[in-house]
Amino acid sequence: MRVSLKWLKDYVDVALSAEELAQRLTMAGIEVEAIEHVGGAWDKVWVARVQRIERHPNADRLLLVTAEYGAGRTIRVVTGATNLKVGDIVPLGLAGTRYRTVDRSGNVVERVLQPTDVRGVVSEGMVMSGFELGLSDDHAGILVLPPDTPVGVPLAQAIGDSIIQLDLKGRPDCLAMIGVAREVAALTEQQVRVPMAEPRPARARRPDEPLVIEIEDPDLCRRYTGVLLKNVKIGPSPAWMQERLQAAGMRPINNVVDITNFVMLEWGQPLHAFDYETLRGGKIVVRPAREGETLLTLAEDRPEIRLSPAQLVIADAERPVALAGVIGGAETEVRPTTSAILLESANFKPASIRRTARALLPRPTEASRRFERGIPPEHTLPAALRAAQLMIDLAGAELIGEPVDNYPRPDQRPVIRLSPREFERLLGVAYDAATIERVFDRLGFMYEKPDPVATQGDYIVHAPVWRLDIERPADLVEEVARIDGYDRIPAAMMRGEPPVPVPNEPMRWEDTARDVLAAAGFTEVQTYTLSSEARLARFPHADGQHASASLAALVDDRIAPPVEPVRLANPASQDEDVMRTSAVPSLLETLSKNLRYADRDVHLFEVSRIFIPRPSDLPEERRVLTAVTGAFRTGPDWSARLENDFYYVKGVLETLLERLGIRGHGYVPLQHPGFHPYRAAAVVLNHRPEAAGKKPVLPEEVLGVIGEVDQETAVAFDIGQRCYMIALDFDRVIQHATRERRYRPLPQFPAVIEDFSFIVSADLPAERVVASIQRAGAPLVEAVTLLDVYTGPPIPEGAKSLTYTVTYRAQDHTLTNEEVAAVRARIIQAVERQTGAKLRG
Amino acid sequence: MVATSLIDELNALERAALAELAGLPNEAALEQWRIRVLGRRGTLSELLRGLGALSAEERPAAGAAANRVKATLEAAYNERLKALRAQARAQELLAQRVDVTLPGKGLHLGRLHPITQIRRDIEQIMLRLGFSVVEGPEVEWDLFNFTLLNIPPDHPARDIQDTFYVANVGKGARESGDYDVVLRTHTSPVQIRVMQQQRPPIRVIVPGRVYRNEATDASHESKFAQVEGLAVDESTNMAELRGVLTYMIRSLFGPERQIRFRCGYFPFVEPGAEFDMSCHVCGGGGCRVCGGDGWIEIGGCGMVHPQVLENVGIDPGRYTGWAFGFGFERMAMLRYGIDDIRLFYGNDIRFLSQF
Repeated sequence: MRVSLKWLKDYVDVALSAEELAQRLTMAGIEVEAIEHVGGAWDKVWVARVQRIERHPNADRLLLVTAEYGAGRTIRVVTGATNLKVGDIVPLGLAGTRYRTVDRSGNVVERVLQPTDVRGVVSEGMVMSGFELGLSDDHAGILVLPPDTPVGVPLAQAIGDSIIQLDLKGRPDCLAMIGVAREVAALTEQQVRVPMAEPRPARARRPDEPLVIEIEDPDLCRRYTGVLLKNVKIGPSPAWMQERLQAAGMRPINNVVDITNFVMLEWGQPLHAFDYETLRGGKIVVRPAREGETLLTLAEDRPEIRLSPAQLVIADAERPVALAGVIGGAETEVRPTTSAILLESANFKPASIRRTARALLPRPTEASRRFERGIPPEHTLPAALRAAQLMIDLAGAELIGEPVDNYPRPDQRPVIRLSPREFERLLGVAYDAATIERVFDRLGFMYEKPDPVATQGDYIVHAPVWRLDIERPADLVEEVARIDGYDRIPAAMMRGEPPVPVPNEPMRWEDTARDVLAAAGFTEVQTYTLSSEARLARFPHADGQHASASLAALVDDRIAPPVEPVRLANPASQDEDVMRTSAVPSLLETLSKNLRYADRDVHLFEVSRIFIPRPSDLPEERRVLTAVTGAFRTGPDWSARLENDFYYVKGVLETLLERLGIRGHGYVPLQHPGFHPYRAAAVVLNHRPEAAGKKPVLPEEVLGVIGEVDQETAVAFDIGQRCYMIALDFDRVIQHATRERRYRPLPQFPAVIEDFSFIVSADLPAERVVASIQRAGAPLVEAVTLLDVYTGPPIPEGAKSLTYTVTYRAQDHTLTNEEVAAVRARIIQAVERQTGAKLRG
Repeated sequence: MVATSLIDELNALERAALAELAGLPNEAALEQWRIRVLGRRGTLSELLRGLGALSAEERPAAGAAANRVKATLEAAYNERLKALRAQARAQELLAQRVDVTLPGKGLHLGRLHPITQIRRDIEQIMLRLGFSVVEGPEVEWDLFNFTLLNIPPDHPARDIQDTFYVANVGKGARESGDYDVVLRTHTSPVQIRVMQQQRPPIRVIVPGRVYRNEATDASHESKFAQVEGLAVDESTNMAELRGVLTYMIRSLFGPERQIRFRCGYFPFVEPGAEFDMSCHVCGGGGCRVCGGDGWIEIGGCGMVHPQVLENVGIDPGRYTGWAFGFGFERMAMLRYGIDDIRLFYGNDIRFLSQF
């Protein structure tokens, strides 16, 4: 809503500057978006009267204008404009005036006026057009001001204005000048002047001038006031009205249309003027449209509209003539020849108007914007009368008969019982009766003072007809607090007993994981959860072609389930039209981008959500942890970078799972089209290395995956180097995570440490050797640590040497040589028998 | 032999040995010297054997002289040994010197996203006041996101937040063109979920992502993170809300910060307010960061609307509640002086590694 300060002063005295007023309004909940100063650049422009007009001696198309801008101050200027006559009041720019003009390339530019020699005559200034002043797009002629404009004053003083732009979220009453004026009056303790009109009919309606108004559904149309006016002379509206409409951002059309718009802006009540002669049967029927009906509207973008019964129309005896509360019809519009008008001032159901406007038009109209926010039904009549009076005054109209006012169910505004204690209860500070009552008075609210018997000390407040947002005691508390000033509300500490805090375990686990990964050199990213199916498909799903296809499918189910994603009905772009079902593509996209910025340590992770639809419920929003690395990390020396490999990334994952308290998990070789076929593993629970891969992995045991990303897949993400990934179903990880730690006493007796080198088949999983050592050496084996893996001479082709450091210890005594020899023998025998290994000499 | 000549010889030995000692270059030469002078067959021992030839009268004086010379030489030896060792150690250390201005090696720490950092700070602050952290779904029922928050269907306040609708969850598109599932436009639906599940006293904060179907620019993101605070009790009020916000803002931006309430409209609170913080850059005098008026807009807040309490079955006559909400990005931008909100989800490591 654009509020002209000048116009506002028609309804309330304003002593404050625009800035001060804006501040008061903003603090009181009417947010001011911007302030525009019309004439702010006019410091060298004066109001002048044309004294003499002469031909330019040396140019046929130019005139010399002598203008007077105050007693004894005259100046001669050269102009090309032809619309001036002696006595006109015009804006006169002196040297130094900033003005708008169009340069040779057609761009609007600002220039500073200098005295100029124009073909032998010095022009000391300029008489100015609306365009040059920045007021309008009218280049054609000099702006001629109303004859009563005082001459010799700065132009800004005569016609300058300030426009306060309101950003109205609530408060539909402030979509009207009167509403804003009421608010300003309350804030500044002034009286508001509401323009009420009581026009007298010129005569009664004759039988051949029927005016019948029928409302089919009073829920959809609460009130319809129709006014018949005749002998209307269509012409321009007066300058003061045009000026006000332009300040509000509306274009003047003609006196009739301008009056309807003016009253709409003044009262907030949209009006519509029909050409009465075009209405068939002198009848207005407010009814739902019938299937198949169409309406040629005044909308620029979509004149012809096909209607449906969901839409409320204004019809005459035969056909729809307007889309109720939204836009008028072309066939009944006011034309230059129109002389009889039916003026509509009605009240429609907000939801219905909103739906109709949204369904049929690209953007709301000034009328529908107001109707959908709610308008007091009490306003139809005073707004109609005000407009009728203006038609009489400005368009020579005659009021024919009394208005026809169909108001089936008169509005009942709530009567609110307000305990003075409510202030302290809601605000934490008591308000005395004087303060409360003063605010009610300032706002114009009617109330009955507390009566200790009749109302138990409560106020009885009548919600005013113009404030549909006032319904409850809390609304009144806000009114008093905001007009009195929110500053009064103190800051206090909470007194109530705090509830027992409930730790959010999943979020704590997320944060644990974040800390571990950050310490391990991974930087946290936060990627968008919106994606597209094409983007998601860049990381492939299990395809059934690989040896461990079913395991790969189980991994997909955790980190990228192949499901129809949650789809937006109104996406902002094709790249973001679904909720992602996997975070893997997001992380690879982010990795790809960052590899352009750094040649090492591009180690990224995210703990975030993926969205998996469920039948007849909201989707599962699953926590996933995804980490990716490029090929290189910082090495031990300054210049050297180290190549990342599977084992490095696995080390990170092992550390993470250890901190999360995950135990008994293991790594099962995985063939998945998104990963290197021999450098990837499913991370599974309840792992049994001694089962030698014969124990099937159950779906509920899969946590996720770790591996080197398949090269082709990486290339699909524009990644030209080896990259590695960890992807976990973090919700499942959390189910098995524990913070429990049990203290073990520090060892009292010394350990014995030995190294073993076994030669085993190259494809034997090393964990089986470890498992054999641990089982055979129990309970004396305390730790088995890998020392080295070696292939090459003298180890035979197809074999590898695994060297382990084994730590033996007894809890209750120092181990003897005999004990160690015995356990050593058991270990060697077990490993050789169970894994086909040979102890290396 | 006479005592005087023996004493002279001792003195001569002392002088010569001390002179030699002073010039010894290293510990090996010193050891040679020790053997030569103080050793069992050294020059001093040789001289001392002469003591036996002296008369009983002469012996004490000569003996005393001999002891003095021996003590002097031994002391000089020890001192010289210490000095040579210190000198050798000094050279050894010099050879190990480092250029302390060369960079350190090899440690690469990851960083937490600035939104995570600010979220944790706020959680920690609110935890001290007895607030628990709860979450809610990002794909949410329209009922929770709007209707139960006093924004019924066709309410114009639905326009304040442009909404992403979900086509294929719930009933999908109805004839009216409405959808019953949305991407939540704020964290406030979690208020409804919490109040439906818990009874007062309630103190929770709700961090989470929200979505708006809006164009992005340096100060607007269509996807961002918010935090919501909610307290419901028999006696809480807007003064306590102001106290909590003041405590939180001061914890984050310094003890001098002031909180200002402006009346504000949110359909799910009444009375409602926008809350501003006195500018942490200029202290309230006015600067570029606060746009010159000394106050920085932080978020919205207010007393839970009685209709909302009724919607979740809490008696608004008995209980009162308040709520606040604001964006994490805005907090992080203020704290770190970031000028473009899009950087948070651009995930450029050169940006992330600054925090």
